[in-house]
Amino acid sequence: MRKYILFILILCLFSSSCEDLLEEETFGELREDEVDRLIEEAGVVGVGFSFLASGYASNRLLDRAFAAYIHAPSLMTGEVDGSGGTWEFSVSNPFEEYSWDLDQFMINQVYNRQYAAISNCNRVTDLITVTSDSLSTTILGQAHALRGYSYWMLYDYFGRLIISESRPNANIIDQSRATLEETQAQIESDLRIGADLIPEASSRLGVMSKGGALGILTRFYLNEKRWADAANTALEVMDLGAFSLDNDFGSIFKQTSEGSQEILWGIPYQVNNANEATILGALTLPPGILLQGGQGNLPAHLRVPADFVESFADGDVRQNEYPREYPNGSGGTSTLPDGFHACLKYGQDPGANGAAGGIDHIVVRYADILLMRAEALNELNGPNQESIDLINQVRTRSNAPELSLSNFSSTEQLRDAILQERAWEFHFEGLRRRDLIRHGKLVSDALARGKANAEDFRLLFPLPSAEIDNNPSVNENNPGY
Amino acid sequence: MKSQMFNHKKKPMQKYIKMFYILSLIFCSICNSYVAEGQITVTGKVTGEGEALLGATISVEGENKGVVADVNGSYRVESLTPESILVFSFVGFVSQTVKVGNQTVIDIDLEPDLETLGEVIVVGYGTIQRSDLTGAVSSIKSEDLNVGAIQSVQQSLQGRIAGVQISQTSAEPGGGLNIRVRGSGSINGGTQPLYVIDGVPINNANLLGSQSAGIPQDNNASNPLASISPDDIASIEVLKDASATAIYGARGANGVVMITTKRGFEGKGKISIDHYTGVQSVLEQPDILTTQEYIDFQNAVNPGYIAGKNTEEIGDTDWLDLVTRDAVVTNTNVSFSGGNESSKYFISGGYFLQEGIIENTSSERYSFRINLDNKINERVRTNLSLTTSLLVNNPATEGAGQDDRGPFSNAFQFDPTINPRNADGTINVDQNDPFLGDFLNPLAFIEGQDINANTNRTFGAFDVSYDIFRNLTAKAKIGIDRQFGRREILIDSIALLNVNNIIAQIFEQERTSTLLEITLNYNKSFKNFNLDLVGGTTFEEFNVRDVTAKGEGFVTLDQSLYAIGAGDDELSNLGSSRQTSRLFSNFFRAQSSIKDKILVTGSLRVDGSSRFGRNNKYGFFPSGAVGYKLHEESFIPKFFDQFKVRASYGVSGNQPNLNYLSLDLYRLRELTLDSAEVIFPEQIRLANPDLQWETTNQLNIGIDFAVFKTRLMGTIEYYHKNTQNLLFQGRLPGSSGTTNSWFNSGRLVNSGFELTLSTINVDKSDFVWTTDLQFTTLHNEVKELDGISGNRIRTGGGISGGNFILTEPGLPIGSYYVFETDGVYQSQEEIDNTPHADANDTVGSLKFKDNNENGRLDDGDRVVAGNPLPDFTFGIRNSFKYKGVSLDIFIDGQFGAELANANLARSIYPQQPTRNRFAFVVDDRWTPENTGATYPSLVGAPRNANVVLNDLAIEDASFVRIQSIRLGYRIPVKSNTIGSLNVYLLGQNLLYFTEYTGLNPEANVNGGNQLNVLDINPYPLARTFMAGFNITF
Repeated sequence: MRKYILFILILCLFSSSCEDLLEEETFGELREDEVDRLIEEAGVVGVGFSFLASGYASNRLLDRAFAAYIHAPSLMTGEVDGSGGTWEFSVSNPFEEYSWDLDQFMINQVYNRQYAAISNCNRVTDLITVTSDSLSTTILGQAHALRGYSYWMLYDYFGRLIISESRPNANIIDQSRATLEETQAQIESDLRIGADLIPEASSRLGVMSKGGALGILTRFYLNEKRWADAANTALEVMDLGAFSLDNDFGSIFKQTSEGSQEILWGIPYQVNNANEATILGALTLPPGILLQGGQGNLPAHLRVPADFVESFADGDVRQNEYPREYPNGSGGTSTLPDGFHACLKYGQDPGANGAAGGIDHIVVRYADILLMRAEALNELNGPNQESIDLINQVRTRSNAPELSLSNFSSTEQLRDAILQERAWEFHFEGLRRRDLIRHGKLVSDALARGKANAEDFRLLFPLPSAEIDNNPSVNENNPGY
Repeated sequence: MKSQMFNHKKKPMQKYIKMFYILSLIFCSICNSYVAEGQITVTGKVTGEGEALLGATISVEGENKGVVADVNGSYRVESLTPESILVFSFVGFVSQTVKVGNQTVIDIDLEPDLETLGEVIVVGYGTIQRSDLTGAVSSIKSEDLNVGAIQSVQQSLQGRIAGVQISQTSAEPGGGLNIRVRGSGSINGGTQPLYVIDGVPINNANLLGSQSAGIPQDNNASNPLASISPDDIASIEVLKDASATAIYGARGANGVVMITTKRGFEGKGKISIDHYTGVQSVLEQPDILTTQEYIDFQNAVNPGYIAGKNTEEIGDTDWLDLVTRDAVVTNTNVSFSGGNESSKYFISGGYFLQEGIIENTSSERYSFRINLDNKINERVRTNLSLTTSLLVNNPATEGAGQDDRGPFSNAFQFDPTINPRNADGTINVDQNDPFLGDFLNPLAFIEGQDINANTNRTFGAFDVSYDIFRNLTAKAKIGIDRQFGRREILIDSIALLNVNNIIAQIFEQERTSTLLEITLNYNKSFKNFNLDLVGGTTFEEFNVRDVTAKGEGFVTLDQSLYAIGAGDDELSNLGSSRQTSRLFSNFFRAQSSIKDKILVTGSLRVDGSSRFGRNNKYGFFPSGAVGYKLHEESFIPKFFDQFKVRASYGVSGNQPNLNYLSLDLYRLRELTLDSAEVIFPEQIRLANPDLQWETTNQLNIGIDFAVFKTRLMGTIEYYHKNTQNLLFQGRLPGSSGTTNSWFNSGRLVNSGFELTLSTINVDKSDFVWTTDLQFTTLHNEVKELDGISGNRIRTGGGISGGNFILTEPGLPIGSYYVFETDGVYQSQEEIDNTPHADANDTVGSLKFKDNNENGRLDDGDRVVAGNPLPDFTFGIRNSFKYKGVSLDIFIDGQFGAELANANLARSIYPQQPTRNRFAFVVDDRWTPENTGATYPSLVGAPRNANVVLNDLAIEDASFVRIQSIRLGYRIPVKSNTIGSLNVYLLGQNLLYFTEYTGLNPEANVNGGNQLNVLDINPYPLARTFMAGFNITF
């Protein structure tokens, strides 16, 4: 007995098998080496696609992506006004009032998530070097295009960027910000390579399309005021012949007619997976509105200033998205307070699960291509018939009266008309902020609305302080922060 | 009869009465068989303070003869001569000797031995005489634990032990408790102590605490120790200094709570029945606006709101009254114990029910225990401790970590002019009403949400000891702790704001821990030298598995929870997970005393944990201590019964409180791309093979003293805990592609004094007055946060106010960091000339200080406005005994703690102007007539969220509380069957003396999370009155 007990003790004290017991066993989660093993088994293309999916997910799983990409810029331009709920305090007000602090959570999420997307795209560009077959070519192209999109979004919000060319890695934390020129070159080259590699026949929602890459590239050129490049790239999209204006303006945005031919690229949301759903629709719904199907409402809602709604020409169907009266749940009608209209552009998703719905985030659509080309041509050549025709394509679709070249005698006049057309056409699509920045009007407009905090430095957002503190090569934030 | 007993449709109260009746019948019939009988030479009864002393020994001096008193204290000794001398003795009492003479009946009442220096206390892997202790260990016996409606072990300790702060962060039945032993030694790594029950360390993580369908994560989820009946506890020891805790290595840094359950004894069986029943009611309803006050206020600040209502529909609803109730609490515990030289037993069964003072909440426990000790032969002994319990909780969503949720919170803020129900009796959830469309009717939570959580816990330890030599004992131990919980949630449409849905969720979780342990114990006395050695090896494994099923879109409530597949396929959700962790440890301790004056202790534990990174698999935790019994020296005055100084220093650790933190991990997820489901790997975190435990170096200096024949006894301790290698997450810049990786960095210090005093103020034959006092100071300070972004941690949520909590070097953990108010704007000119928070500010708005004088209100203007850790805490118990009557008064309190009173902040800046609020805020709001007001005009809505929680709402949360008053009476019994009978009346949580205007000065909606301590929507405090009795046979 005595010997036996001692034996057990000695066995355990000195046995090496006890060492192995302390290795952690994981269940239901994968280790890096298991991921590598999957790569071998699934083949490079499959895994490349899987990592690319991870990149898309970083854009979409950002739980409030739409808020960072649609709400925040829309609130900054006064397109909408946030009302009610914690949302008003914590999300709407900082942007409406130009009072966001360092480390505003949505802004930080944009930064971190876009870099997560970039690092996953980097894995794909690392993995796929041979473009012998069409599938790997497509995936490589999509990785470039998606990375270009992520860089563009980051550039738009933060300015000069850190250009990362590696997969997530704890050792690579010492990279400095590139110059503006380098940043722009990276965006341009990624989107161009992507557009060239992706075959013409591709999707509109989810997987990056050729049209999407070119559309974002057009947007990039336009905002850089590279008018000729913008005009040519827009034409490139038009020449694809894959896109056209949707006859029914309102339906483009609604869940009920997902995937309009007008959409060049968008980020789809799904109800059936909690991480892929969005509260974009629910957040806009006015109080007490008659709900359809599983759609839920939230205490917060967004309102549209009446002067904007009243500025549409008579008969312009785009105005219909902003009723002041709406049917309520008890068979009657409710009305918003004076000065405000509801924003029902995205409307309800009857398939929603409460507030979580499946309304898609449209990143770039054909009407934008037409108006971008119109603007670029005006900047290059002054008022011209092609620009007017392009604008009229967009206007007639919505039953708005046509413009005539004779009404425009200067570049400035047509420039202002295009900016106004964009206000009507792209209201609450997240484009207004950069339109106004391009025209040098963002801050002056905000000041005119009484937003005293609006200052030039707020054209950019601050980098997360974690970047400044933990990256030895980045010592300063953007000026003003 | 039997089927009725377990008919679950019966109300718990009826069920309990029936069960108690049956149990009483059974046990009364058992007792009758224990009546003593027979002829005697000398007979009598041994009592102590009037109570029969079962097991008292009566020996005959000089002879090898003795008997043991039975359950009634009766004894019989034969074959005596008149010269025989009887010695009556019993543990805890002063022995008496009596010469027989010509007496044939000798009744003896023994005096209690108030000196506790000789008592044996439990330490890690052993026991020690209190007088030989070199470390800081507080011991409390069952009779000194808190009384009242006590569900869990921790509640029974609240306020009793110096250096141990216990706050009930949620007053919900079965709700969470936050315990800190000597401050807060970690920021992210967990601050709860290690619990060791009957020698087995337990995994005390919350079962069923995670987030679920439509229900926010419950941070105050059920307390795992609630499954252990406090009635079964014999003593609790709290190990505080490194000398005591280092033997628990990487789990000892937050202190160790050793729980020892009751065991059998030699003697005839004893039955003890404890019972109480009481009523709880809301301690104090918050002072909110009455209906008329509300109407007047709305008309003043929000004209048109009341006017817009249909006058016929204006109601007068006391919402707080509607959602609260007077609630029953009852407890019955029956134990049966006894044994003989070779076999001892303790068997108990109990039933506890606490209804909540919020409608539709309750907590119920059924528990059983069997403790068996057997001596097989001269060398071999076995011990078994086995308990199983069923805990049934019906929680509310109150205090569950989210704004705008919960019956009480909504009732607090609800428009009192709204009628709770429609004419047909259904709940009024008219979404076209501007208020109801935005805020859920409080009754909807009560009637539309059903949450039911059942937990079965079986906990057992079995050991075999074998004496290898006379001084060397080997012991092998096996322990199992298995918890199985199932939570069911059913949410009807009415409880979902403006959503038409029925949601059901079932969540099951199983936690199984096993322990295998071998120890060797060597104990030898030499001349002038005692040596006690213990060494061992232990292996523990912890497993958690869970599965969850959620369905939505059910057509009817009848086919939902128990037909979870009947929901909408698109919306249903399945999930499961499993985790394992292991510990492999070796430990050793030597204790010695030299000439019974000098005490020396040294210990070492080598802990290997699967949670440590690959490069740091083993941690070494040494400690050493010395003590010097000065009272053995001649130069110390004789009136010192004890004067001992002692000092210790050592290292203990705090292992990561979660699994897999050192590993690179990916999770496979699903994404829909172009209508196809794509599986992709999502990175969870980057690896850190160097990840290790948080390390605490602790110095302890203590003095134990006893004077005037132990009329005054006490302990004074000073401690200094220096904790480094704190666990943090992050540190990577976003540009690296992921921000998630864990690492060790930083340092913080806890230090303080502890004073424990026991006095016997009056000690007359029929009147005794004793006082026990504990007093604790705490200084918590973060010293370094190297590697943390900005060398500071900003947190805060649950209410607007930006990141209103700051942790940085020089401050305690979780300090409030808010904008500083500077009165109320009195003129437009004043607004124009100062930087103001808000473009919409008007006369009557709050004015804030531009502390960094940069001309605008920004983050740099925030000031530190306190922290929720108290500077000192105390507890004082006074006990009076007059003949059979006893009176116990226990008062405790805390000073120097601040708390964020979110309900006050929300009264100033409500989410909607129509929300109800504290009346005192409205009464002292700025108006042109009341320009000296504390609070702003409450007109208009603020546009700057950062100022919502400002320094007005950071309040002093100091309080003094009459925790309990107990009036007891020992009924003199002349029965042969009844040993003793005590009855008592008890009031609990009677009164708070505090300036704090919120609902609970100890509340934290985020449970143990110290980085976001917030009083928002807490479960209301209850006052309890109860009557109870204890009877032994």
